[in-house]
Amino acid sequence: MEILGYLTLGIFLTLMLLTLFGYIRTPVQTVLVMSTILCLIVGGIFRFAYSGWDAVMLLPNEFLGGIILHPITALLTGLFLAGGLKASGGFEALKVILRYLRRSPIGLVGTLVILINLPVISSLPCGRILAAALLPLLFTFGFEGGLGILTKSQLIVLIGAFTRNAMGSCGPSPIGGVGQIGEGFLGSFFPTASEGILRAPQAFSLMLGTAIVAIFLKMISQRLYPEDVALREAPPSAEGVERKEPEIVAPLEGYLALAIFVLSLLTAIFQPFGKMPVQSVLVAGALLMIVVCRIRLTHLMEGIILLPVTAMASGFLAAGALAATGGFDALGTLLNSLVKVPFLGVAGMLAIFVQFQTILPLSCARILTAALVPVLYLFGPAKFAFLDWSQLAIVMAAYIINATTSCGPSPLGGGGMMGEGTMRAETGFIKGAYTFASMAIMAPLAAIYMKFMNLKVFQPSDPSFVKDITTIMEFALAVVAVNLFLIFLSRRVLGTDSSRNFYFQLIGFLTAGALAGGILAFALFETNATAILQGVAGGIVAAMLIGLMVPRTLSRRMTATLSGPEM
Amino acid sequence: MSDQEKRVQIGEKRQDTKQPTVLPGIHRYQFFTNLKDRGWTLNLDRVALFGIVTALLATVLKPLFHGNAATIYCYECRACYATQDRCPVGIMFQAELAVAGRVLDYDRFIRNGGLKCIRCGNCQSYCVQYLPLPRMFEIMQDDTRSAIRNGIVPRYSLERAMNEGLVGKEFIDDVVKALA
Amino acid sequence: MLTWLTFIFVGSLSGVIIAWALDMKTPRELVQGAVGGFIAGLLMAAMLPH
Repeated sequence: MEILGYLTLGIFLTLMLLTLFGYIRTPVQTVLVMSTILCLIVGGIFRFAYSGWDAVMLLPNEFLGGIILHPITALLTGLFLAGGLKASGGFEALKVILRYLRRSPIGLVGTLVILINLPVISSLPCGRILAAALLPLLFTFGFEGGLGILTKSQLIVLIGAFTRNAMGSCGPSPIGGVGQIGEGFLGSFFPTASEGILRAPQAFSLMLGTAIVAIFLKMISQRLYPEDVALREAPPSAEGVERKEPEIVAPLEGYLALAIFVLSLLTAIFQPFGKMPVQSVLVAGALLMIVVCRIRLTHLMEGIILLPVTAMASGFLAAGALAATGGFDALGTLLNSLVKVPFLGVAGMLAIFVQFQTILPLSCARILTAALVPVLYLFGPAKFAFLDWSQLAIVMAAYIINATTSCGPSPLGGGGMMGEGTMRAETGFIKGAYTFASMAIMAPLAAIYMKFMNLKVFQPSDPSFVKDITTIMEFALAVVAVNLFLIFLSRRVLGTDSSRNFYFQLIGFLTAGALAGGILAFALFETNATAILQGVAGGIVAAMLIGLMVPRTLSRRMTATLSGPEM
Repeated sequence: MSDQEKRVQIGEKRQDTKQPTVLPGIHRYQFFTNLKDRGWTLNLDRVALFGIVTALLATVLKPLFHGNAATIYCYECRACYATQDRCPVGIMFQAELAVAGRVLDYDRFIRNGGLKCIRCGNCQSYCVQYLPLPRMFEIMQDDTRSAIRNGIVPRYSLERAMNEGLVGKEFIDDVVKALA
Repeated sequence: MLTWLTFIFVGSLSGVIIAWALDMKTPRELVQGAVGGFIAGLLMAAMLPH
């Protein structure tokens, strides 16, 4: 029966890679459902042969278990609320508040920095909730949106960085975030892990990762794909002319709706009225909006976007089919066998493992996280004993932030597509920036934060764990400095030849990947030189796989996809 | 048509605001809505969407019809794993039991020790939503017992449960009878 | 306390980098970016378990 797992894993990976590289040109939902059906057919045949008809009949129940309802319903209720906010003029109210903020001492820049970091601060269980609500607002800062405060380049950076932050914010969410899956497993050793052992490392690395994404989008992405963002620049006639900012008047209902929105979020996160599902709080907020702001149910429903919901659901189905047919067991065995590769060892294998979801970005991080976190758990004292509990917590921190952010660069209906859509960019525009930040900044820094801060917080009785804020800051500065240097260097060598640019970018990825792998190995095994070298080797392998998936050009592929090659 | 003209034409299509809104703020000629080769995939897409909606409905309706509605609310956050050795029968992965209860996955339930649960409620205090885990497990235990009696649960699943000591004394007779 | 300090530091650092990426390069704008990041870091730290 083990062969069945390898077969279904092969089917899934083949279909995903063909879609990622544009050879299959159907909506991602279709591909994922086809993968599900194929896996189930193959699984059914094998089960019939080995265990009889009874086992086949239970297959549907087993694959349905792959569906995680929480993010789907949380997203739907969040979109519901966003629809209400839009209908009642809540966004107008937000614009007025932002105008006051812009005129305050923190100015436009400070306001934008807070806006960009708002998703991680509010930490909702799906980044799309806030992205759906705020992306149209960010668009208004540009020429086409009406305010005309920002140039095209600035708007690309703003939208890209905000979306990056949003599509990682589901990790540190205490109300059913992706990180809670890892926290649950760490709860086997750290008694208070479920109170948020992974939240701070994720938030810490996400804030810095967002900044690196902003720089990458400004210096690399816009040079690599100069013609692939259809946002309009202000026409020459408008240049140099002082544009009068249109007077924004928000209705009272708008302010009320905004207040209800914020209160709902705070109630969902802090749960002052006792434990309750986030969905219930958000729906109660929506109902309150209907009563107080006099909006209709249809307005709320207009806020719902089906694509992310169906993409996520189909991803869960595919994952469920893989789990039911042993595909994930096969994946675990494969990853486990990397330990035996001489130049990789445990450190190298883990350097690849933590980057796995960025290598294969799917529409929702939970799809693979739910399957791979148990595998990671088994690397710890529970089974293989490659790691002790504190090392497992460090790897978990690195893995979870990398996994959480993987829906951002996914071209298969991932959250980043919302940003690309808003900036009118071709699909794949943000992929380089997002994957680079996840790989080079977030994973290693989350590991460092966990090692030098959170282990002490969550296991205070163990004197071997220390809080070392200086080391964290030094690492943060060093990692950021090295990666900024790489980005600056890449910018200097980029030219008009896309193939040449691609290879330069790949070299940058490899260097950053090596550094990330080395830091992870250091966080785990400290100054063990062999482990660090193995980590570097693993980092290079992971970076190679990630870098090769970044699109070389966008327009040509998209043109062919849109119109067929003969046009 | 020259390359320039092609690019202009596509650019115009992408700027066409009459295109349906696919994502917030996006009125564009997206590749997944206007593919040239969409003709042969159109029905495939419909089948896929039908499959997704059916699966979602099944996931919600199944627990409702089986009286185990609380399983719908499970975040699958695994906070319950912190129960550790406070579980008197040594169940490690309580969330697995909740998910198995939602979709009636008997094999998963038995494999994770659902049939040895004594419903003490120690795990409930770790649930971030304080879901009634003992009650959820009890309902699934009853469903599993019925399934065993009706011969629905595969033999290999019961054999493994017996070999690994995963069957509590309440259920041992049913399992032995089914294996006889 | 150390968590607060760490997040204030990381918020300010990311604020300056984002400001620079947004083509805001005068010292005043960079400081405003840092202050925005400082506030973001402070809010983030407030939301974390201590």
